Amino acid sequence: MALDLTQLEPQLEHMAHTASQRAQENAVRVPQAQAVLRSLADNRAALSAKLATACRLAWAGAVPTDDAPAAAHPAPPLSLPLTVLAADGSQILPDRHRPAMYYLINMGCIILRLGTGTAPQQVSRPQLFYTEDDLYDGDNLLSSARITAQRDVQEVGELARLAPAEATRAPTVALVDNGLLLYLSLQDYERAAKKALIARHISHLRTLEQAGVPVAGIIDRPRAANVLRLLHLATLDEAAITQDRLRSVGQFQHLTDADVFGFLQPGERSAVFALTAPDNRTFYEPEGQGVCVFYLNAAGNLLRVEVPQWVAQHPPHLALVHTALIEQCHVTPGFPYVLTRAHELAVVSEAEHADVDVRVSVKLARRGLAASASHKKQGKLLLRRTS
Amino acid sequence: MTFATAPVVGRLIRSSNRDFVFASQVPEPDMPLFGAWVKAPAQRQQTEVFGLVYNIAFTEDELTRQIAATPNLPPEYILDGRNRQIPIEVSVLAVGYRREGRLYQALPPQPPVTLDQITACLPDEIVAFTERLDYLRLVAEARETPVDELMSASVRYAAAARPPDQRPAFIRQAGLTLARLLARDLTRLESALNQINTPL
Repeated sequence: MALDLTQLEPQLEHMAHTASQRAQENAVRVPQAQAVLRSLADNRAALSAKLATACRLAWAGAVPTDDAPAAAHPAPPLSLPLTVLAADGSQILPDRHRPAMYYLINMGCIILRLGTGTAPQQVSRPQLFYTEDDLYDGDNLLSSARITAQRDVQEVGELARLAPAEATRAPTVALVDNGLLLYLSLQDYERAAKKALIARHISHLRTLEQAGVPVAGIIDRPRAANVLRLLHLATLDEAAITQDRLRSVGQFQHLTDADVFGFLQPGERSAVFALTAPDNRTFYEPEGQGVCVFYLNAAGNLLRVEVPQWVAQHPPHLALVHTALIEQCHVTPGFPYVLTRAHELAVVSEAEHADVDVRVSVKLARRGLAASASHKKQGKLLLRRTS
Repeated sequence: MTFATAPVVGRLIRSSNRDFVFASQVPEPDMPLFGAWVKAPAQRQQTEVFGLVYNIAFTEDELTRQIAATPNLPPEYILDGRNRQIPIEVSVLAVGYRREGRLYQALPPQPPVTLDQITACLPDEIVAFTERLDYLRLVAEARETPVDELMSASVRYAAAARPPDQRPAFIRQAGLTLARLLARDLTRLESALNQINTPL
């Protein structure tokens, strides 16, 4: 055994002690944050001025919409028929230790037509990328962040491909297991690729908008602090607002938005907030696809839900997303059923990955090309077989 | 014909030279059946182990458990649950092997190796293997399996793999073999003979 659990034991004990201390501190700080949230409605004018200053400083916070910021909205009643679609992707990244350089993105999608009594439709679409154009950006091999971003864009693309036809038959909601505001941690040389990815993503969102299909990105166990940044901003004097101060969340450090919305009861959603992340303001909002966020207590589990502005601003769309999520989280408590199933359809297991490698090797060998895993990889596989 | 479509039915998860277990995620209609003939590579592909499916078990699946416990479950979820590729564990009794083109009705020299692919036997392979019926003795001695049902089911599959005009003679020959193996237990023999005449 490589891991000495005996040595780890005192460290685990200390970790639990630290977590317990943090929970006690949070029990005091969370109500303070909630009090600031409630006070926002009373200071709209002052807040607007602060928000205008902060947004000029590339502030990645959240702006209240017409809703009272501390509002809690119960779930609207479920009306059938209702179709819920979900897409999820998984990938095999390029690996020089494998028999050949390639990557693969597999899309899993499920269409659940509630109220029809029919079996849901399952879709699984693998796509292989292997040409030099696929694999390289100039001299650089595509980064894992880039491939992950490509997968995220394809997820919404899959929804845009399938949802319009559904929307002609029944009210339809489309879900992804991810934020709608792409998080692209790309290198400088990938700037053009970033723009192209976002443009494609926005075109998919527009297709859904034109088809009248509200779309939502779901994040379980969210760690985001956009609303906390808003609360921090509200506590600053306008003259004291600087880019440096806006980088932190001040007295609310290490809390999350989910802590703030702990007051939501099962089934309730929070008010909607518009995200002010620079990418949102630069790329999404000018195209009418600005991303907004609300929090939802789904059977006791707090979810972050990202929706485009055209969903946030259209109460029937927002209600449809809300009611669909509550219905979905009734079957698999705390997380939408269709997303669990889409993941199941998308995921590429280690055995399947090994199968692809074998098939690659065989195809290449038939053309007289030697292909095998690196000696390092073979050694690791051997260990896996014997351990 | 044991499997109408994809002949790859799963991947080996544990084995001995007497029996082996594979995991399968094929959808329900293509799921391996009790008594069906399957094969697994062994000895670095030099040998193919032939076996009979004798147990099929649904493995633990949290999602199914969660769905089953949901009150007022809409029918769409039940239908989806049945469509899912739920992992199953399939136990197989080794009854022979093929090496260098020759078929042997005996325990294989080595078991198949973990993670190897298990495939359904093709009708021609079943016919060739069951030209002799010595494998029924191995089944009769496999007390961990439902012996009588397994012998009968394997004979029925072997008969079904043959052209219709050859089936009566094959079943007669299998009946004689069973009579020898079960000569001391006429009740079991009668039951086995009745079963091999039951259509698939």
